[in-house]
Amino acid sequence: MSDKNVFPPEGPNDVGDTADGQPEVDDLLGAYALDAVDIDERDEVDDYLLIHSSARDEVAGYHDVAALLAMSVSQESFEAPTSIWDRISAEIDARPVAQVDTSPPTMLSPASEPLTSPAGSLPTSIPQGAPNPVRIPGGVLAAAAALMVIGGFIAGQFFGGSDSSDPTIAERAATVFADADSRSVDLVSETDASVVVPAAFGADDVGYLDGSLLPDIGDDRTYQLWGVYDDDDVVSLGVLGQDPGIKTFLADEGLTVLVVTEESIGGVTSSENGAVVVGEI
Amino acid sequence: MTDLRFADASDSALVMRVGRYDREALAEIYRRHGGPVFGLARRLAGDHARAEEITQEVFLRLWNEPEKFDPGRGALRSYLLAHCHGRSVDALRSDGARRRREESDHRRTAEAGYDLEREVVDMATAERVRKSLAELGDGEREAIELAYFGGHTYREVAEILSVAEGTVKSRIRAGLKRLRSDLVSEGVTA
Repeated sequence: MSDKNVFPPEGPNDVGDTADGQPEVDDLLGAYALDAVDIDERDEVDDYLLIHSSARDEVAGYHDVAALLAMSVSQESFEAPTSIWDRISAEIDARPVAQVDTSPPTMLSPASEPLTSPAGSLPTSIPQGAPNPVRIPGGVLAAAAALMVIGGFIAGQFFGGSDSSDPTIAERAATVFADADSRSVDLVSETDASVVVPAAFGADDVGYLDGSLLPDIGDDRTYQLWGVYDDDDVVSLGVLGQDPGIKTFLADEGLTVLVVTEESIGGVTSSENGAVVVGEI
Repeated sequence: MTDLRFADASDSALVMRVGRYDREALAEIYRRHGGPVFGLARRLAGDHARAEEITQEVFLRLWNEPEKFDPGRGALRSYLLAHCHGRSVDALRSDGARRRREESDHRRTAEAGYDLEREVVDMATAERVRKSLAELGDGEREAIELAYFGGHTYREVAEILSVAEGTVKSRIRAGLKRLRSDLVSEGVTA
Protein backbone atom coordinates (compact mmCIF):
# COMPACT_ATOMS: atom_id res chain seq x y z
CA MET A 1 0.00 0.00 0.00
CA SER A 2 1.32 3.45 -0.85
CA ASP A 3 1.71 6.19 1.70
CA LYS A 4 -1.30 7.85 0.14
CA ASN A 5 -3.44 5.02 1.40
CA VAL A 6 -2.38 5.40 4.97
CA PHE A 7 -5.21 7.50 6.26
CA PRO A 8 -5.17 9.24 8.57
CA PRO A 9 -1.38 9.35 9.08
CA GLU A 10 -0.19 6.64 11.39
CA GLY A 11 0.33 7.92 14.88
CA PRO A 12 0.52 6.85 18.48
CA ASN A 13 -2.44 4.52 18.20
CA ASP A 14 -3.99 2.44 15.49
CA VAL A 15 -6.37 5.10 14.28
CA GLY A 16 -3.71 7.68 13.75
CA ASP A 17 -3.64 10.41 16.38
CA THR A 18 -2.47 13.75 15.11
CA ALA A 19 1.10 14.38 16.14
CA ASP A 20 0.56 17.50 18.23
CA GLY A 21 -3.12 17.13 18.96
CA GLN A 22 -5.22 16.17 21.91
CA PRO A 23 -6.01 12.45 21.85
CA GLU A 24 -9.39 12.92 23.51
CA VAL A 25 -10.45 15.32 20.77
CA ASP A 26 -8.85 13.22 18.04
CA ASP A 27 -11.02 10.34 19.24
CA LEU A 28 -14.09 12.41 18.43
CA LEU A 29 -13.15 13.16 14.83
CA GLY A 30 -14.93 10.22 13.29
CA ALA A 31 -18.13 10.81 15.21
CA TYR A 32 -17.85 14.52 14.48
CA ALA A 33 -17.60 13.89 10.75
CA LEU A 34 -20.84 11.90 10.94
CA ASP A 35 -22.61 14.60 13.00
CA ALA A 36 -22.75 12.13 15.87
CA VAL A 37 -21.47 14.36 18.64
CA ASP A 38 -23.32 16.59 21.06
CA ILE A 39 -23.42 20.34 20.51
CA ASP A 40 -20.79 21.14 23.13
CA GLU A 41 -18.47 18.55 21.67
CA ARG A 42 -19.08 19.87 18.19
CA ASP A 43 -18.03 23.32 19.32
CA GLU A 44 -14.94 21.87 20.93
CA VAL A 45 -13.96 20.06 17.75
CA ASP A 46 -14.73 23.13 15.64
CA ASP A 47 -12.23 25.11 17.70
CA TYR A 48 -9.72 22.29 17.52
CA LEU A 49 -9.93 22.10 13.74
CA LEU A 50 -9.08 25.77 13.42
CA ILE A 51 -5.55 25.13 14.61
CA HIS A 52 -4.95 21.48 13.69
CA SER A 53 -4.60 21.12 9.98
CA SER A 54 -4.05 17.38 10.06
CA ALA A 55 -7.32 16.99 11.94
CA ARG A 56 -9.07 19.06 9.30
CA ASP A 57 -7.67 16.79 6.63
CA GLU A 58 -8.79 13.77 8.57
CA VAL A 59 -12.34 15.07 8.87
CA ALA A 60 -12.39 16.03 5.19
CA GLY A 61 -11.39 12.47 4.36
CA TYR A 62 -14.19 11.12 6.48
CA HIS A 63 -16.63 13.44 4.74
CA ASP A 64 -15.51 11.92 1.45
CA VAL A 65 -16.24 8.48 2.84
CA ALA A 66 -19.61 9.60 4.16
CA ALA A 67 -20.48 11.05 0.76
CA LEU A 68 -19.68 7.74 -0.88
CA LEU A 69 -21.82 5.94 1.66
CA ALA A 70 -24.68 8.26 0.89
CA MET A 71 -24.23 7.73 -2.82
CA SER A 72 -24.21 3.98 -2.45
CA VAL A 73 -27.59 3.58 -0.86
CA SER A 74 -30.16 5.54 -2.77
CA GLN A 75 -30.89 4.53 -6.31
CA GLU A 76 -33.62 7.05 -6.87
CA SER A 77 -31.54 9.97 -5.72
CA PHE A 78 -29.55 10.63 -8.85
CA GLU A 79 -32.09 12.84 -10.54
CA ALA A 80 -32.26 16.29 -9.05
CA PRO A 81 -35.90 17.32 -8.60
CA THR A 82 -36.60 20.36 -10.75
CA SER A 83 -39.29 21.51 -8.36
CA ILE A 84 -36.66 22.17 -5.71
CA TRP A 85 -34.56 24.16 -8.14
CA ASP A 86 -37.57 26.27 -8.94
CA ARG A 87 -37.90 27.08 -5.26
CA ILE A 88 -34.20 27.84 -4.92
CA SER A 89 -34.36 30.10 -7.92
CA ALA A 90 -37.39 31.91 -6.55
CA GLU A 91 -35.67 32.36 -3.21
CA ILE A 92 -32.64 33.88 -4.91
CA ASP A 93 -34.89 36.26 -6.77
CA ALA A 94 -36.50 37.34 -3.54
CA ARG A 95 -33.26 38.14 -1.75
CA PRO A 96 -31.33 41.37 -2.13
CA VAL A 97 -27.69 40.98 -2.99
CA ALA A 98 -24.72 43.22 -2.60
CA GLN A 99 -24.20 45.91 -5.17
CA VAL A 100 -20.66 47.02 -5.65
CA ASP A 101 -18.58 49.18 -7.84
CA THR A 102 -17.31 47.02 -10.65
CA SER A 103 -15.54 49.70 -12.57
CA PRO A 104 -12.58 47.97 -14.14
CA PRO A 105 -9.20 49.01 -12.85
CA THR A 106 -6.18 49.02 -15.07
CA MET A 107 -4.26 46.37 -13.27
CA LEU A 108 -1.05 46.62 -15.22
CA SER A 109 -0.84 50.23 -14.15
CA PRO A 110 -1.13 49.16 -10.57
CA ALA A 111 -0.61 52.40 -8.77
CA SER A 112 -3.39 54.28 -10.45
CA GLU A 113 -6.68 52.49 -9.99
CA PRO A 114 -8.52 51.03 -7.04
CA LEU A 115 -9.27 47.36 -6.77
CA THR A 116 -12.82 46.48 -5.99
CA SER A 117 -14.46 43.45 -4.54
CA PRO A 118 -17.91 42.96 -3.17
CA ALA A 119 -18.97 44.14 0.19
CA GLY A 120 -21.53 41.90 1.83
CA SER A 121 -22.32 44.81 4.09
CA LEU A 122 -23.88 46.77 1.27
CA PRO A 123 -27.36 45.27 1.15
CA THR A 124 -28.77 47.05 -1.84
CA SER A 125 -30.55 45.50 -4.75
CA ILE A 126 -29.09 45.24 -8.18
CA PRO A 127 -30.69 47.76 -10.45
CA GLN A 128 -32.07 46.41 -13.66
CA GLY A 129 -29.36 46.29 -16.25
CA ALA A 130 -26.55 46.85 -13.79
CA PRO A 131 -23.32 44.95 -14.26
CA ASN A 132 -22.93 41.70 -12.39
CA PRO A 133 -21.84 42.34 -8.85
CA VAL A 134 -18.70 40.70 -7.63
CA ARG A 135 -18.13 39.20 -4.26
CA ILE A 136 -15.32 37.49 -2.49
CA PRO A 137 -15.07 34.12 -4.16
CA GLY A 138 -15.78 30.67 -2.89
CA GLY A 139 -13.28 28.72 -0.91
CA VAL A 140 -10.48 31.18 -0.97
CA LEU A 141 -11.19 33.09 2.19
CA ALA A 142 -11.92 29.99 4.18
CA ALA A 143 -8.72 28.40 2.99
CA ALA A 144 -6.76 31.56 3.46
CA ALA A 145 -8.14 32.14 6.92
CA ALA A 146 -7.15 28.65 7.91
CA LEU A 147 -3.76 28.95 6.32
CA MET A 148 -3.06 32.24 8.04
CA VAL A 149 -2.90 30.41 11.32
CA ILE A 150 -0.26 28.04 10.10
CA GLY A 151 1.29 29.77 7.15
CA GLY A 152 4.73 29.92 8.64
CA PHE A 153 4.76 26.22 9.19
CA ILE A 154 3.72 25.53 5.63
CA ALA A 155 6.55 27.60 4.27
CA GLY A 156 8.96 25.85 6.59
CA GLN A 157 7.90 22.48 5.32
CA PHE A 158 7.95 23.42 1.69
CA PHE A 159 11.43 24.87 1.87
CA GLY A 160 12.87 22.03 3.84
CA GLY A 161 12.00 23.07 7.33
CA SER A 162 11.24 20.44 9.87
CA ASP A 163 7.90 21.67 11.03
CA SER A 164 4.70 21.44 9.05
CA SER A 165 1.07 21.64 10.00
CA ASP A 166 -0.16 21.04 6.50
CA PRO A 167 2.10 18.77 4.51
CA THR A 168 -0.69 17.94 2.12
CA ILE A 169 -0.94 21.44 0.68
CA ALA A 170 2.82 21.91 0.73
CA GLU A 171 3.29 18.65 -1.13
CA ARG A 172 0.61 19.50 -3.65
CA ALA A 173 2.22 22.87 -4.24
CA ALA A 174 5.65 21.30 -4.67
CA THR A 175 4.25 18.88 -7.22
CA VAL A 176 2.53 21.59 -9.21
CA PHE A 177 5.53 23.94 -9.15
CA ALA A 178 7.79 21.09 -10.29
CA ASP A 179 5.51 20.02 -13.12
CA ALA A 180 6.79 21.46 -16.38
CA ASP A 181 3.32 21.13 -17.85
CA SER A 182 1.68 23.30 -15.22
CA ARG A 183 0.68 26.80 -16.21
CA SER A 184 2.64 29.27 -14.19
CA VAL A 185 3.28 32.97 -13.83
CA ASP A 186 5.73 35.08 -11.87
CA LEU A 187 4.24 38.08 -10.12
CA VAL A 188 6.90 40.77 -10.11
CA SER A 189 7.45 44.15 -8.55
CA GLU A 190 7.94 47.19 -10.72
CA THR A 191 10.32 48.70 -8.22
CA ASP A 192 12.30 45.81 -6.76
CA ALA A 193 13.49 43.02 -9.03
CA SER A 194 14.25 40.80 -6.06
CA VAL A 195 10.59 40.53 -5.15
CA VAL A 196 9.11 37.67 -7.16
CA VAL A 197 6.02 35.67 -6.29
CA PRO A 198 5.70 32.53 -8.40
CA ALA A 199 2.28 31.08 -8.94
CA ALA A 200 1.29 27.86 -10.66
CA PHE A 201 -2.00 26.26 -11.53
CA GLY A 202 -2.82 22.67 -10.75
CA ALA A 203 -5.74 20.51 -11.66
CA ASP A 204 -9.30 21.51 -10.90
CA ASP A 205 -8.57 25.24 -10.95
CA VAL A 206 -6.53 25.32 -7.78
CA GLY A 207 -3.69 27.79 -7.89
CA TYR A 208 -0.64 27.83 -5.66
CA LEU A 209 1.30 30.91 -4.74
CA ASP A 210 4.65 31.20 -3.01
CA GLY A 211 4.75 34.51 -1.20
CA SER A 212 7.87 33.86 0.81
CA LEU A 213 9.85 36.61 -0.94
CA LEU A 214 7.36 39.34 -0.21
CA PRO A 215 8.89 42.07 1.98
CA ASP A 216 8.21 42.24 5.69
CA ILE A 217 5.26 44.41 6.60
CA GLY A 218 3.92 45.85 9.82
CA ASP A 219 1.93 43.90 12.36
CA ASP A 220 -1.22 45.73 11.39
CA ARG A 221 -0.83 44.98 7.68
CA THR A 222 -1.58 42.01 5.46
CA TYR A 223 -1.00 40.98 1.89
CA GLN A 224 -4.07 40.35 -0.23
CA LEU A 225 -4.37 38.53 -3.55
CA TRP A 226 -6.66 39.79 -6.32
CA GLY A 227 -7.67 38.33 -9.64
CA VAL A 228 -8.70 40.25 -12.71
CA TYR A 229 -10.91 38.43 -15.17
CA ASP A 230 -11.33 38.77 -18.87
CA ASP A 231 -14.69 40.43 -18.34
CA ASP A 232 -13.00 43.06 -16.15
CA ASP A 233 -14.33 41.66 -12.91
CA VAL A 234 -11.91 42.11 -10.05
CA VAL A 235 -12.17 39.57 -7.28
CA SER A 236 -10.37 39.17 -4.00
CA LEU A 237 -8.76 35.75 -4.14
CA GLY A 238 -7.74 35.74 -0.53
CA VAL A 239 -6.18 37.53 2.41
CA LEU A 240 -2.64 36.20 2.52
CA GLY A 241 -1.45 37.38 5.90
CA GLN A 242 1.86 39.02 6.77
CA ASP A 243 4.12 36.13 5.85
CA PRO A 244 2.26 34.28 3.12
CA GLY A 245 4.49 31.34 2.32
CA ILE A 246 2.55 28.83 0.25
CA LYS A 247 -1.09 29.67 -0.34
CA THR A 248 -3.83 28.13 -2.40
CA PHE A 249 -6.46 29.99 -4.34
CA LEU A 250 -9.15 29.29 -6.87
CA ALA A 251 -8.12 30.12 -10.41
CA ASP A 252 -11.06 29.56 -12.68
CA GLU A 253 -11.57 30.24 -16.32
CA GLY A 254 -11.13 33.81 -17.40
CA LEU A 255 -8.54 34.78 -14.82
CA THR A 256 -6.02 36.95 -16.64
CA VAL A 257 -4.02 38.87 -14.06
CA LEU A 258 -2.94 38.25 -10.49
CA VAL A 259 -2.14 41.12 -8.18
CA VAL A 260 -0.92 41.28 -4.60
CA THR A 261 -1.56 44.41 -2.57
CA GLU A 262 -0.72 45.43 0.97
CA GLU A 263 -3.75 46.20 3.09
CA SER A 264 -4.89 46.72 6.65
CA ILE A 265 -4.97 43.48 8.58
CA GLY A 266 -8.10 41.49 7.90
CA GLY A 267 -8.14 42.53 4.28
CA VAL A 268 -10.42 44.84 2.38
CA THR A 269 -13.26 44.55 -0.07
CA SER A 270 -12.05 47.44 -2.16
CA SER A 271 -8.45 48.54 -2.41
CA GLU A 272 -7.05 51.95 -3.08
CA ASN A 273 -3.50 50.67 -2.96
CA GLY A 274 -1.22 49.87 -5.81
CA ALA A 275 0.18 46.46 -6.58
CA VAL A 276 3.14 45.13 -4.68
CA VAL A 277 3.57 42.52 -7.40
CA VAL A 278 1.58 41.77 -10.50
CA GLY A 279 1.65 39.06 -13.14
CA GLU A 280 -0.28 38.50 -16.33
CA ILE A 281 -1.32 34.92 -16.89
CA MET B 1 -31.80 24.80 -16.59
CA THR B 2 -28.54 23.46 -17.96
CA ASP B 3 -26.18 26.07 -19.31
CA LEU B 4 -23.91 24.58 -21.93
CA ARG B 5 -21.19 27.07 -21.04
CA PHE B 6 -20.74 25.20 -17.78
CA ALA B 7 -21.12 21.64 -18.97
CA ASP B 8 -17.39 21.00 -18.81
CA ALA B 9 -16.54 23.35 -15.97
CA SER B 10 -15.04 21.93 -12.82
CA ASP B 11 -16.93 22.16 -9.58
CA SER B 12 -14.41 24.65 -8.25
CA ALA B 13 -14.86 26.85 -11.29
CA LEU B 14 -18.59 26.75 -10.77
CA VAL B 15 -18.25 27.79 -7.16
CA MET B 16 -16.09 30.67 -8.30
CA ARG B 17 -18.88 31.71 -10.62
CA VAL B 18 -21.37 31.41 -7.77
CA GLY B 19 -19.08 33.76 -5.88
CA ARG B 20 -19.78 36.21 -8.66
CA TYR B 21 -23.54 35.75 -8.40
CA ASP B 22 -23.84 33.56 -11.46
CA ARG B 23 -27.15 31.78 -11.06
CA GLU B 24 -26.51 29.45 -13.99
CA ALA B 25 -23.41 28.18 -12.24
CA LEU B 26 -25.50 27.30 -9.21
CA ALA B 27 -28.00 25.64 -11.52
CA GLU B 28 -25.25 23.46 -12.94
CA ILE B 29 -24.07 22.56 -9.43
CA TYR B 30 -27.62 21.66 -8.56
CA ARG B 31 -27.95 19.57 -11.69
CA ARG B 32 -24.81 17.65 -10.76
CA HIS B 33 -25.34 17.22 -7.04
CA GLY B 34 -28.97 18.00 -6.25
CA GLY B 35 -30.08 14.42 -6.63
CA PRO B 36 -27.67 12.89 -4.13
CA VAL B 37 -28.31 15.71 -1.68
CA PHE B 38 -32.05 15.24 -1.91
CA GLY B 39 -31.68 11.47 -1.68
CA LEU B 40 -29.68 11.70 1.51
CA ALA B 41 -32.06 14.22 3.03
CA ARG B 42 -35.03 12.06 2.22
CA ARG B 43 -33.43 8.99 3.67
CA LEU B 44 -32.54 10.74 6.90
CA ALA B 45 -35.53 13.00 7.32
CA GLY B 46 -37.95 10.34 6.17
CA ASP B 47 -40.28 13.00 4.89
CA HIS B 48 -40.46 14.32 1.34
CA ALA B 49 -41.38 17.87 2.24
CA ARG B 50 -38.70 18.11 4.89
CA ALA B 51 -36.14 16.69 2.48
CA GLU B 52 -37.04 19.35 -0.04
CA GLU B 53 -36.59 22.07 2.58
CA ILE B 54 -33.19 20.71 3.56
CA THR B 55 -32.04 20.46 -0.05
CA GLN B 56 -33.13 24.00 -0.66
CA GLU B 57 -31.22 25.16 2.42
CA VAL B 58 -28.06 23.38 1.32
CA PHE B 59 -27.93 25.07 -2.06
CA LEU B 60 -29.00 28.46 -0.79
CA ARG B 61 -26.20 28.27 1.73
CA LEU B 62 -23.75 27.66 -1.08
CA TRP B 63 -25.24 30.63 -2.88
CA ASN B 64 -24.95 32.88 0.15
CA GLU B 65 -21.65 31.62 1.51
CA PRO B 66 -19.59 30.13 -1.32
CA GLU B 67 -16.42 30.99 0.56
CA LYS B 68 -17.23 28.23 3.05
CA PHE B 69 -16.31 25.64 0.44
CA ASP B 70 -12.60 24.90 0.50
CA PRO B 71 -11.55 23.09 -2.66
CA GLY B 72 -8.25 22.18 -1.10
CA ARG B 73 -9.91 19.89 1.36
CA GLY B 74 -12.36 17.85 -0.55
CA ALA B 75 -14.88 17.51 -3.29
CA LEU B 76 -17.88 19.79 -3.60
CA ARG B 77 -20.24 16.84 -3.43
CA SER B 78 -18.72 15.76 -0.13
CA TYR B 79 -19.10 19.27 1.18
CA LEU B 80 -22.73 19.51 0.12
CA LEU B 81 -23.61 16.08 1.45
CA ALA B 82 -21.89 16.82 4.75
CA HIS B 83 -23.98 19.94 5.15
CA CYS B 84 -27.09 18.07 4.10
CA HIS B 85 -26.37 15.39 6.66
CA GLY B 86 -25.88 17.94 9.41
CA ARG B 87 -29.12 19.70 8.61
CA SER B 88 -30.99 16.44 8.31
CA VAL B 89 -29.72 15.23 11.66
CA ASP B 90 -30.63 18.53 13.26
CA ALA B 91 -34.13 18.16 11.91
CA LEU B 92 -34.32 14.57 12.98
CA ARG B 93 -33.26 15.36 16.49
CA SER B 94 -35.72 18.17 16.84
CA ASP B 95 -38.91 16.34 16.03
CA GLY B 96 -40.81 13.26 16.91
CA ALA B 97 -39.84 11.40 13.79
CA ARG B 98 -36.72 10.34 15.56
CA ARG B 99 -38.45 7.92 17.85
CA ARG B 100 -40.42 6.39 15.04
CA ARG B 101 -37.26 5.77 13.10
CA GLU B 102 -35.21 4.27 15.88
CA GLU B 103 -36.78 0.86 15.91
CA SER B 104 -36.69 0.35 12.19
CA ASP B 105 -33.19 1.73 11.84
CA HIS B 106 -31.91 -0.51 14.55
CA ARG B 107 -33.58 -3.55 13.06
CA ARG B 108 -32.23 -2.75 9.65
CA THR B 109 -28.67 -2.28 10.74
CA ALA B 110 -28.35 -4.65 13.63
CA GLU B 111 -30.58 -7.56 12.67
CA ALA B 112 -30.76 -7.62 8.93
CA GLY B 113 -27.14 -6.63 8.94
CA TYR B 114 -26.63 -5.27 5.50
CA ASP B 115 -30.01 -4.21 4.35
CA LEU B 116 -28.50 -1.39 2.32
CA GLU B 117 -27.81 -3.87 -0.44
CA ARG B 118 -31.25 -3.71 -1.99
CA GLU B 119 -30.85 0.02 -2.48
CA VAL B 120 -27.45 0.01 -4.03
CA VAL B 121 -27.35 1.51 -7.48
CA ASP B 122 -25.93 -0.40 -10.36
CA MET B 123 -22.68 1.47 -10.36
CA ALA B 124 -19.18 0.20 -9.87
CA THR B 125 -18.48 2.86 -7.29
CA ALA B 126 -21.50 2.00 -5.24
CA GLU B 127 -20.62 -1.65 -5.48
CA ARG B 128 -17.13 -1.04 -4.21
CA VAL B 129 -18.38 1.13 -1.38
CA ARG B 130 -20.87 -1.52 -0.41
CA LYS B 131 -18.20 -4.17 -0.48
CA SER B 132 -15.87 -2.11 1.66
CA LEU B 133 -18.61 -1.40 4.16
CA ALA B 134 -19.53 -5.06 4.33
CA GLU B 135 -15.95 -6.00 5.02
CA LEU B 136 -15.84 -3.91 8.16
CA GLY B 137 -16.21 -5.67 11.46
CA ASP B 138 -19.80 -5.86 12.68
CA GLY B 139 -19.14 -3.42 15.48
CA GLU B 140 -17.62 -0.79 13.24
CA ARG B 141 -20.27 -1.13 10.55
CA GLU B 142 -23.15 -0.96 12.98
CA ALA B 143 -21.72 2.06 14.73
CA ILE B 144 -21.20 3.92 11.45
CA GLU B 145 -24.62 3.03 10.08
CA LEU B 146 -26.46 3.98 13.24
CA ALA B 147 -24.59 7.27 13.44
CA TYR B 148 -24.69 8.23 9.79
CA PHE B 149 -27.94 6.79 8.51
CA GLY B 150 -29.75 6.71 11.84
CA GLY B 151 -28.73 10.21 12.87
CA HIS B 152 -27.72 9.04 16.34
CA THR B 153 -25.01 10.55 18.48
CA TYR B 154 -22.22 8.20 19.48
CA ARG B 155 -23.64 8.19 23.01
CA GLU B 156 -26.98 7.00 21.69
CA VAL B 157 -25.25 4.40 19.57
CA ALA B 158 -23.45 3.16 22.67
CA GLU B 159 -26.78 2.79 24.42
CA ILE B 160 -28.38 0.99 21.49
CA LEU B 161 -25.49 -1.42 21.14
CA SER B 162 -24.92 -1.72 24.91
CA VAL B 163 -21.25 -0.89 24.69
CA ALA B 164 -19.09 1.83 26.19
CA GLU B 165 -19.16 5.29 24.63
CA GLY B 166 -15.42 5.22 24.13
CA THR B 167 -15.76 1.97 22.26
CA VAL B 168 -18.24 3.53 19.85
CA LYS B 169 -16.02 6.55 19.25
CA SER B 170 -13.12 4.27 18.47
CA ARG B 171 -15.20 2.00 16.25
CA ILE B 172 -16.53 4.90 14.21
CA ARG B 173 -13.12 6.44 13.70
CA ALA B 174 -11.36 3.16 13.02
CA GLY B 175 -14.12 2.05 10.67
CA LEU B 176 -14.01 5.29 8.71
CA LYS B 177 -10.25 5.05 8.51
CA ARG B 178 -10.50 1.51 7.21
CA LEU B 179 -13.15 2.46 4.68
CA ARG B 180 -11.12 5.40 3.50
CA SER B 181 -7.97 3.36 3.06
CA ASP B 182 -9.85 0.64 1.24
CA LEU B 183 -11.63 3.05 -1.11
CA VAL B 184 -8.42 4.92 -1.85
CA SER B 185 -6.61 1.70 -2.67
CA GLU B 186 -9.52 0.71 -4.93
CA GLY B 187 -9.28 4.04 -6.70
CA VAL B 188 -12.78 5.04 -5.68
CA THR B 189 -11.58 8.24 -4.03
CA ALA B 190 -8.30 10.13 -3.97
